[in-house]
Amino acid sequence: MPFRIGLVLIMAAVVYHALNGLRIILMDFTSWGVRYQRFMWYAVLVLVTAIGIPVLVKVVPEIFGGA
Amino acid sequence: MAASTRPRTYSQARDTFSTNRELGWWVFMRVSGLFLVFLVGAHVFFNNILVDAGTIDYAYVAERLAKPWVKIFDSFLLGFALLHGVNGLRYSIEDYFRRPSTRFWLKTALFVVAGALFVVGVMTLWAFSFEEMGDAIRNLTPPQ
Repeated sequence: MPFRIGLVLIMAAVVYHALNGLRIILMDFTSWGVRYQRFMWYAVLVLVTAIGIPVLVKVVPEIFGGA
Repeated sequence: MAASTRPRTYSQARDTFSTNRELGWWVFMRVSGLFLVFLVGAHVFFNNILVDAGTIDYAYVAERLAKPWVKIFDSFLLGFALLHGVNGLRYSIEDYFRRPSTRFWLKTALFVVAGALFVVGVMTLWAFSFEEMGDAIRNLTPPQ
């Protein structure tokens, strides 16, 4: 059970870090990245939520029910 | 280098860093970060979505690591993740600790731990014959 709580936390951290990192790459290497960085940060939040919900749906029942 | 003076674009980075080595690490963080999105994504898919992470046993791991492409894939994951993570921690140490001796010892500890993790990782991936160990496990112990 502690393992699966850690799983939720590490998924949240890794997914946010990955998507925010892609946003920073676009800021660094494209001409338009800095102009849209604020919009892209909100897009990152939306994508983290979109990926996070299925993770929670799969893992949270396992925290309470699973081995 | 304080966080507020972080360069925002490649041309700013070229002006900011006094050495080509630091510029090289700046570029490496972007390139390895892009690779790691795919490497870590595939790792999560194979080890957490394709199978239930709570039920992975020795036989599953041995069977996976018996495939050469898994060893090569995991070696890239190990190398990129360690270098990316260690360099990121080095940035944090240099951002938040001002005293030269504190910086030196924290970075020394960081590099020692990272080196140990790299050695253990490479040994795990390459030093054992997982084909043989897989057979031995299948013959000696019943599945858990």
